[in-house]
Amino acid sequence: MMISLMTFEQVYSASSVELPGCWLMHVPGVGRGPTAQKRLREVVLAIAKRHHGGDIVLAETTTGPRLLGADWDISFTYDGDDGWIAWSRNGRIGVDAEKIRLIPEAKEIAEEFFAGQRDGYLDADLETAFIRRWTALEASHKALGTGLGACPSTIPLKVSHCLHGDVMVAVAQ
Amino acid sequence: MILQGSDRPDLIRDETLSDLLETTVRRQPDAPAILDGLTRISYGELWFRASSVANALASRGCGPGECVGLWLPRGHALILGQVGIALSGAAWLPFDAAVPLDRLVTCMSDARGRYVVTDQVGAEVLRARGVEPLILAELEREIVEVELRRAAPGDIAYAIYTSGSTGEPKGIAITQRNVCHFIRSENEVLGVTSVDLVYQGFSVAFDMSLEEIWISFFAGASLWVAPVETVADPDAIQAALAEQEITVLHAVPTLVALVAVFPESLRLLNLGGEACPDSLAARLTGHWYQVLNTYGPTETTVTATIARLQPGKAVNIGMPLPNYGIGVCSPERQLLPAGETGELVVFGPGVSSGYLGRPELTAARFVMIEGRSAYLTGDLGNIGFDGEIRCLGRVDNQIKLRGFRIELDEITAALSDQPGVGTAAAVVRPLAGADEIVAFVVLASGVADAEPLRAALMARLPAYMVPASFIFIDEMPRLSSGKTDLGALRRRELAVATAQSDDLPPPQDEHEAALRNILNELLPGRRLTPSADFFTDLGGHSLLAARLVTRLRRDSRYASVGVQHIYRGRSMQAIAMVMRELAADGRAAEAAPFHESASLWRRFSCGVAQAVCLPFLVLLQMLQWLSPFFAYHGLTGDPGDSTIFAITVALATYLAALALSFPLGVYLRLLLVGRLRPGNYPLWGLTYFRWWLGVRLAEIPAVHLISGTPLKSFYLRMQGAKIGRKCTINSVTVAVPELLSVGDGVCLGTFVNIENARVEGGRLIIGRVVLGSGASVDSYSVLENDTQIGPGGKLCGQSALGEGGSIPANEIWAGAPARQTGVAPRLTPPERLRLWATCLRTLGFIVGAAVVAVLFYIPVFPSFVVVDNLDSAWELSESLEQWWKVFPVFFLLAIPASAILLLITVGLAGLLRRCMPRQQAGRFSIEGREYFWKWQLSAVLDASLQVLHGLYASIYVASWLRLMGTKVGRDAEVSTAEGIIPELLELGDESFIADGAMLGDEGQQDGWMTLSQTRIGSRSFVGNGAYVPDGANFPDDVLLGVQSSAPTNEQMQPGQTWMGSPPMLLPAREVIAEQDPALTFRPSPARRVARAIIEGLRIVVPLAFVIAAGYVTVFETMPYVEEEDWGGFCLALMIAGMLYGLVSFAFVLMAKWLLIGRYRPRLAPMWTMFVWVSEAVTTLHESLAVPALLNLLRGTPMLPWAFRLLGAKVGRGVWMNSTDLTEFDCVSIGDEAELNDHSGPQTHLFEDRVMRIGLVRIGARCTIGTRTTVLYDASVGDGAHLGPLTLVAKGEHIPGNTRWEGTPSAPAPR
Repeated sequence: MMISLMTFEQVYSASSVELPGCWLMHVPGVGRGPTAQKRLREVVLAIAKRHHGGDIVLAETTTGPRLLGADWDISFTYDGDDGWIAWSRNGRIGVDAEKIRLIPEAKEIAEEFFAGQRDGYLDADLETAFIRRWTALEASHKALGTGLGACPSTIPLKVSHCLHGDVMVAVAQ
Repeated sequence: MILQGSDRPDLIRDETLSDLLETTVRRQPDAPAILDGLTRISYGELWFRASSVANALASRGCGPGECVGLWLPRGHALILGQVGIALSGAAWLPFDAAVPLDRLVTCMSDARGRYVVTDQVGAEVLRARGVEPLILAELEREIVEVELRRAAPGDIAYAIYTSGSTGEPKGIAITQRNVCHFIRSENEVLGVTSVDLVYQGFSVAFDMSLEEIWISFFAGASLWVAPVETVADPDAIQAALAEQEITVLHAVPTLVALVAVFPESLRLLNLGGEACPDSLAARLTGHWYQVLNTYGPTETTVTATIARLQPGKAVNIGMPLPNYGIGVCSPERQLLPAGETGELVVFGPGVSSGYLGRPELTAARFVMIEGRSAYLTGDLGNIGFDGEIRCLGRVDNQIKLRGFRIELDEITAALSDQPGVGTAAAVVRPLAGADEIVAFVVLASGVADAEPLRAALMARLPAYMVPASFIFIDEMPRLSSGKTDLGALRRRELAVATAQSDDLPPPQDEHEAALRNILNELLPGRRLTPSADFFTDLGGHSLLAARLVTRLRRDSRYASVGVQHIYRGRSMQAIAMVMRELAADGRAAEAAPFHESASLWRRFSCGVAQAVCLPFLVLLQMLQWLSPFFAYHGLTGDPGDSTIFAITVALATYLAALALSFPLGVYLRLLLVGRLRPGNYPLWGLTYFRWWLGVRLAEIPAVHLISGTPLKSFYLRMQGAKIGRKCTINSVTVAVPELLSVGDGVCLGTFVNIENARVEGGRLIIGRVVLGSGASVDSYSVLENDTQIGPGGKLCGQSALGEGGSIPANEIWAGAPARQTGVAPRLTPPERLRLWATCLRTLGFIVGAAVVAVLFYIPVFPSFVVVDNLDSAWELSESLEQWWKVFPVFFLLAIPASAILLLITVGLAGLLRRCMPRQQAGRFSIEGREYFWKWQLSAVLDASLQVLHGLYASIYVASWLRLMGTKVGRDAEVSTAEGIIPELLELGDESFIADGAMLGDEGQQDGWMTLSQTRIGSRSFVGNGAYVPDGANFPDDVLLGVQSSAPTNEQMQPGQTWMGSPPMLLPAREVIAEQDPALTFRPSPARRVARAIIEGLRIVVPLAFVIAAGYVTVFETMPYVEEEDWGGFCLALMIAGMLYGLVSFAFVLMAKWLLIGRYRPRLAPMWTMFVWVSEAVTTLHESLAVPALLNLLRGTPMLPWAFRLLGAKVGRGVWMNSTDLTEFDCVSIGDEAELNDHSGPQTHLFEDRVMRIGLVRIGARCTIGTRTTVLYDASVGDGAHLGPLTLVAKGEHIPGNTRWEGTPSAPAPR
């Protein structure tokens, strides 16, 4: 995977120059919905302030949550009770996580969103394949700030995946 | 991770409570210790009186290791008794005055206590239950001589009994060491001093009373004992605080919440015992007093952590006290890192020795973790990333309800935050047979109304956490500790339910019902209120949104619902409204766009009729093309024949053929086609055939020679169009000229499509287009049937006005689909030319066109002469006889001839360029000199490109453009750039201009032409078919996407990516996987040479082919001319022309399959053989197969066959009016699909100098509008209709049976 998977302790204790260009952090037990978002924001701000000091603001912009006052881009997501935060110093980043499971409408959704894609993914089963593509799509939209509701961009991004238990996590840069 | 409080070994001492008190007594014997009503007890008196009690207890054998009960009403006596027991060395076992007697007896039995210190009333009760009472007052009065056994630090100081999960109370034994350390440790934070007056209100059965009592004693503060009638009355508390000038208050949050005002004397408010809501903290903080929030199980000696609450900061339980430690552990008792939620575990000197008489329970809760004694608190929490601890409630207060993990404390906190709510609590209990969350609320103000509370919680919590029922009560049941008695609430009779769980309003209509049904399936158990937000309330996310949309679309009424509707609407009622609108819009009836399938017979008959016409069309083309060669051939070959004379006659013949082609084309159209009328006609029917024939006949004259001149207007009038005066009409495609009406002074730009006939849904739709006086249409725009532009109206470049569209007078519209963007400023037209000047001007255009036509025909002759001489020298044609043997030979001979042709053409173009005046930026009259020379230059460029077509997208194009006067940077790449004015164009280093881009289209309006400098910055990219107007100044590294229009100069910044019409800024750009720079931007000299050779061949070969074909045709048909067998001549020419077309196609077919094989999706850097060969095949296709054959087959059933042979998958009955396919094998077109003019799949793009090839799928019965592009990796579902100038982006899928339009594509409104 092209992106470093780091723990909070590693990020918090590293000096700013030691941090890689981009990394992914697992934040367990964040809850769901507004609770999860609130907790993930707290984590983002804590780390940002630790490494940046100064006036860091996490703002909700039209392109998603963005760190203002830092030269990082962040994206976060949660699935179940676990959260994921992706950080980048090298441009925009997006992250998405979904539990691998059977989606009854997968075929129709795939026709709409994945038709024609040839991305070289090889998965043993269709459930994994679908979730892999879906998280890649979502992560890409988050990086671009377009959101799934807008027209898909003409510009796909580099996407990496990792499995955490039965949760597929995708990071797009 | 263990979060450790400050290391203070000095706070850990071998001492007892007796030692602490003695120190204070010695220090300040006269200072008040206890204030109780009018009673004032000094420390000295306290010590004296308590010692008496202690002696009396000691005389009865009470001492260290023994528990003595303490059961007295509130007052100084209670404190005295506690101190007395402490001084005796025994442990006190406190009971609340209101404790049930059974509990007292049980606890005493459990603790093996013999005596209970009580009063007279209590004594009688206890005796009756067989418990030995000791009356405090009597103990005080006893005078005994006894040696007190002082407690050791390890002896139990007190024992407190708490409820057990099994129902049996359990006694927690706290040692002297535990409690003394706690007192010192906490007071390091509290800072209680001898000047403080501390409010004592807790029951001694609650260990927070030790904070009140013993910290005060340690510090020498005074303790004000609140009477029993005060402790539960907030108003009385408030009054007492003020009256007594209390400085320190320890309280539970729910009690403090009811106190309105605090006295100025208060300096410290210490909250504990239960969770503190954020709203309360917000109210309490920011004042003159300090607010602390403490946390600690009884088992770890009162308090383990403490937090200073601050305004605006969420409540947490802070940091461990000095020497305390807090960790979070998993169920497996593994310490968890920060951020992870688990069970809070306490370390440190405060951890007690365990439960009295409960070794198993003690072992279960008092554990060793990482070698340290620890207590498992049973509370959920985590250590925040800011280093502070969060308590998330009891493990057993977290429930799972319908699959959701719910923290009841969170609901309680949310309720408590609501205005008017005094205290609240949430519990789970059965309602109507199912477990539901029930909220109990004590109001501080206002009226009992569940709905505002419900709405507020809906806005704050997930819907599954909103209580099903709200119960308003007068008073919250409390435990003796002051905490809320949740058990009582769970058992409480629910006489009145103020809200029911099934009080959802019924669905408004069938649309909301349909939505609810699907949401119930996708999101079971959610409360689907109309305002519930799909994402924040119902727990929806993007995948669920996609699933919802998919399910909705199964109902044809909602076929056009997209995920964007879910994202934009969010709430159920908003989504239902969209569904309602779609259904009411009539989209229900048109969810499947109309498509009429033509019968096989109709298609076949039309095809036969078209096939019959083809040879005649070919004949006309061949005559126009080869007539000069016949003339030349007829005047040479004999001795004494003058070549110069022959060439002169040949050129005159050429001019005559050109000139005649115009009236001939018009006459034939009028004769064979007649006038078409607006209407809706079946595809492949008679009207369709007529229309098709009319278009083919209109393609015969060299219309490009007269574009932009008054002759174009004249020609269109001849075709039946109504064209006003002083119109400037450039290269416009008009589908049905007789239905075009153009007012005076109209300007039509380059490559404008007047698409007043198009195919959709199996029908040919013909309509009118009306352009008012002074209207203008910029380049690359499309107007469909039944559109109009009012006087002075303007349609900007790269814009589409769909069927029925209308631009009002003087308005500017832009974009695809076109929308109003402003008001068109009118310019004062230039001074009109006089009639003679106009005639002179027109003559000038005629002469100019003729000169250009002739000049660029001249270079053909040297090549012809070369071939002719070689043939004569080697007698090839005579020896080989059959044409199929002659042709390959002449083809090879024509290669050097073609090279000569190319060089001469280039040289001629360069020379003409030098002879013409340089273009300057500025505004000029269209009737002026500058316009004429601009037009002349464009004519030179167009004419030269007839020969030099293959030059573009080659390594030679930069040199060509420099020759024409363009500033071209290092390593710039240009495919086919249209509309350029060479000396006003600058291309930066490594810039890339993709195929069909319009660069620097001059502005024309109200008789004026505006020319401006156009600059494309270094490393900038202009995508396929993109539109860059005159005056654009691209900064470096700007990317303009496919079929997009450039933004204004003010908008553009370096490094940006723009896409669409109107353009929109994309926030990020793809970073292509790293490619070897030698294959993209920094090729080696060897690669440059290799590319030059291959591309040189690619330019020369088609020309050689054409020359050879022309020569062979003349050679084969000349005998008929010599015999004056005109019928035979025509037939032979027809056959030769058809053969030429077929052989051209076969040549391309062979080249494709031999050189490429099957196209497959792939990546290929620009400087690789594959790309050069692929481009070569494309060039052959476009310069040979298309003009020779495929163009004629447009709109016939035969064209799909040609593409099938090339490898495309084309279904039955496909109608194709476009030949714009390249990587054929990557294209799939479904049955009966329709591709209108200049539309089609774009199976490759160059991105960062890497060619990406992908698949395009166009479904069955699709209609692809004019100039619509479907990018690679995209697909169009069956039955979808795409409007004009639509761009289906990479990876996009257009759902079947829907209408889409625009760049980028979006659902089309009606």
